[in-house]
Amino acid sequence: MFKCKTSPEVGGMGHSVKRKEDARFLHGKGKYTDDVKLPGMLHMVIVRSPYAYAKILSINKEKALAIDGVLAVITGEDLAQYNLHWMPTLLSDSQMVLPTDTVMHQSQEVCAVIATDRYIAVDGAEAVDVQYEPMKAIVNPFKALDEDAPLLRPDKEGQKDNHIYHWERGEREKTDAAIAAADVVVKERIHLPRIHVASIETCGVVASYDKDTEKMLIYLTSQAPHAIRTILALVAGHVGLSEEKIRIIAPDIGGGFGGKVPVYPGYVIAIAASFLIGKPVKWIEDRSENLVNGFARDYHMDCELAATKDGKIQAFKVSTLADHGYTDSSANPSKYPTGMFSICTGSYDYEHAFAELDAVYTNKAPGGVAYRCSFRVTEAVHAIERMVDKLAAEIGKDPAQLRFENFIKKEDFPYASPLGWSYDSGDYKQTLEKAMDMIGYADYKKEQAEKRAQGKLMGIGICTFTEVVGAGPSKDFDILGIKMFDSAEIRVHPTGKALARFGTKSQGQGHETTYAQILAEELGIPYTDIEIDEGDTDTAPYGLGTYASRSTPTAGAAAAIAARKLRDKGKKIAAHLLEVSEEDIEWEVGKYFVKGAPEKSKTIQDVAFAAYTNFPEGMEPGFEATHYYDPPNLTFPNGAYICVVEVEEETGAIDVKRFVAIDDCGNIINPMIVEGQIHGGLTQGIAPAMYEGIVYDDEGNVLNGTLMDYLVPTAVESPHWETGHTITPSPHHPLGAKGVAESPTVGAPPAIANAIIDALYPLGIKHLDIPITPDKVWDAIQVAKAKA
Amino acid sequence: MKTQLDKSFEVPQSTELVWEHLIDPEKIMDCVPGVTIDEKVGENHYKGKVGMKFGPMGVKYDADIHYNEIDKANRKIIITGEGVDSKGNGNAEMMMTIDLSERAEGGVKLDAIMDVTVNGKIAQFGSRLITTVSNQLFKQFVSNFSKKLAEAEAAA
Repeated sequence: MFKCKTSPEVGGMGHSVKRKEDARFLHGKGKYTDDVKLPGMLHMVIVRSPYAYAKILSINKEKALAIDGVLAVITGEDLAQYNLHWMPTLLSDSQMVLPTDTVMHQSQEVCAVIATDRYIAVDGAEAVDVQYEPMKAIVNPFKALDEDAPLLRPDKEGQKDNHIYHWERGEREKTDAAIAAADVVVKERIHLPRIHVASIETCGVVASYDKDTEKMLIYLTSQAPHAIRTILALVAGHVGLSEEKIRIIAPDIGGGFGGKVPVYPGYVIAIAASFLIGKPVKWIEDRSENLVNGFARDYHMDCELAATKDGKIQAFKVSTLADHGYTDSSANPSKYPTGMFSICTGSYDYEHAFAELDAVYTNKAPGGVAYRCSFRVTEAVHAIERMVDKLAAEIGKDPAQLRFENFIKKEDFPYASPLGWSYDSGDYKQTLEKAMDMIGYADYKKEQAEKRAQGKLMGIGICTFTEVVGAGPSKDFDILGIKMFDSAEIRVHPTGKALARFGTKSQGQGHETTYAQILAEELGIPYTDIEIDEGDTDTAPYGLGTYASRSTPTAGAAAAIAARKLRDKGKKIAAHLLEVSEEDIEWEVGKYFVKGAPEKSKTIQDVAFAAYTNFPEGMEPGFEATHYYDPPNLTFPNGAYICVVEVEEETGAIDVKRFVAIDDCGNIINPMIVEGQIHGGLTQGIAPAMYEGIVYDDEGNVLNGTLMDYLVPTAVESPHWETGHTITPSPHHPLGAKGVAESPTVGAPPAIANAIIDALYPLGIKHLDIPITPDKVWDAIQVAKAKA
Repeated sequence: MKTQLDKSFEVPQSTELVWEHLIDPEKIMDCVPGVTIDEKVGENHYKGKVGMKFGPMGVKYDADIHYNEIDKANRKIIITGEGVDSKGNGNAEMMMTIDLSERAEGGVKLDAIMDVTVNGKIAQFGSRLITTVSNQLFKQFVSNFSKKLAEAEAAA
């Protein structure tokens, strides 16, 4: 277990200190993008397409412009004059900012109205007369590749069908051969539905261009302000927006979850409008706009898992069809079009694996955001964890026992996975044992046998996942060529208090507390004496932002190393103050002392003061350090989750009786924050498992574009989460930490699905896709009964 | 989204009177809440307006209505309609088949099947309400239509 090195007052690693940012949030004093009000600010509202696929015949602005207070209606034709009507996506596809001739999905931006207030802008948007010629939309991704399917992207040179790309990893022939020769093969087509991050704060921007200074100030709901600034300079450089003139400030963010990584057309239109008009322009998405734009998941995965008859896993193959909507705007590292999907071999040791994926265009919103998951890890984990349970059921082996017999062993780390990852550390056996003890697994198995004998439906589901987070090492990871390092800059003031700035951006994770705790751990300066600052590209060091659980693995490591640089400098100053040679100085948290004479010491605060007032001759004054951290590897958090459910046969109602989550995220910075992250993540895990899914009809209408219809679980739906942890520190991270925020979102859905399917197994139901709703269960029960 | 309504109702009047009402758009559309016929633009082709409210969403379609089939021998008509919302919020298509059958005990039974496809904001925000609202509208239609037939019968 982790042993705290600092006192609670200093509040280094391992202390559950209260969050420094919470005072302002609890007092309602958080400052979000929509709180920004600038003098003369105009408001923008977007006119959106009612059709999934249609030609635009005409856009008549007249009636809108006749409304008092409406200043402009911006169309694609207007932006085309500046060549700003299209923008590149991160994965080298292209996305319309505003269309000039065709709309490709329902709710796509058609034009934008700029007015003196938001109400007038809404009236203006209603008054714009757009004439469309609707066309037959492609909604089903499996039909997108049909010979007679219309070509959705004739604008792309060389594009002959609706296929975007093929990706594969692993050894196809050897995997096929192993599957062909195996005693047992289980197969399933698993769909992870389209869902939305549905963060409380929607997306928004306030863009303010000053024609005199030529500076563009942008307040933006962005998880990655530096990267966005660079992209903006690259795509709008030709109109005169130069990177040093662009300042992006990401204020407080009310939930990001990956949904605030992309550049949305609304941002670009508002920025362009401010640039052209020379006044601040605000655009804040409304709730329904937020829900129907962008998405996560939407993978259809054909899985095959092969094993010996007693359950030794031998090979795994997965062929995926990915529905990307009308453009591939996935926010993935450049070399990873499918993200980290190749983590799909899971926590198990076997030789052969093959994963392939084909991505297609459809008439749906683009997105592919990494919703609280390190780029497609949720999909990968769901595939392997459902298949492992299916195998266990097929051969009649306890799913926990099957996992124990196939786990990668503690001593096998670092472990080279069949699809090319090097897992850093883990003790999967210990973690699952702890979860089984905590929930009382053996007793539940007994209870289940009794209940089944009485004809009652009770299920136990397990998920033992391995995550891959913290992108990432520069040799493999970049976004538009920018390597995925991150940064920390520490400035210790003469009085021993400090300011530290980071290239990341908190969206509720608690960075202002946890980064201060890392520095407290390394320097001994109390965490309360350290201010943390992020999100302003004019002041923060360059970094790629916060997503994919990368803040602790990258910027957290940068903080530790920058602090160690300071400590080295401090040692020289301490030697000077204590009049001994540097070799005679030793460090313990918060102070330097003379070897063998601990009473002769100087605190870090004494040393900081001396760095400005009494430094050795020839030394550069000041007490500051910066580090840009390029991680040597990713980190591999893991966990064992167990869920117990009861299902009512008459109604299909599902009752989650227990849910135990044991997480191993390496060394823990703040256990309270980690627990909070896990509670939130588990709730966002039960969401797709039992409630959420964007529903399209055959014409491409989104049928649940409001929170009345799109069911986000609340406290009422959340079961009592029981959490715990094991610790196997990451061997390559300076703090031994791994990152945690995404594990529960990744691990919960298969645990819940496995439990429900286990409950229904006696009726002959062997698989259900999530979300597993009562009506889906009820339907499946009726079908199963009709067969029986 | 697509929705289908499959409804039957009975009226005590004669087949002849009911048929006469059915094939006259002025008479029948007058009974559908929110529908008005503005003009006849061709043989069996009319223009009109359809206004409806589905919970938070209202629509006003500029509609084209066609009598696609008037089969007097079998007492069957097929009416199709398509409309585009005047505020650009989407469109709708409808196909309705009505079959008349004389009842042994007198009066007429009407069997109506309506296939409706709606696109745009109504589908997006009102999908949960469409069936409920449609049922409500149908009830009102039956009530209006029965009243109109009774009046016509009394006047004759």
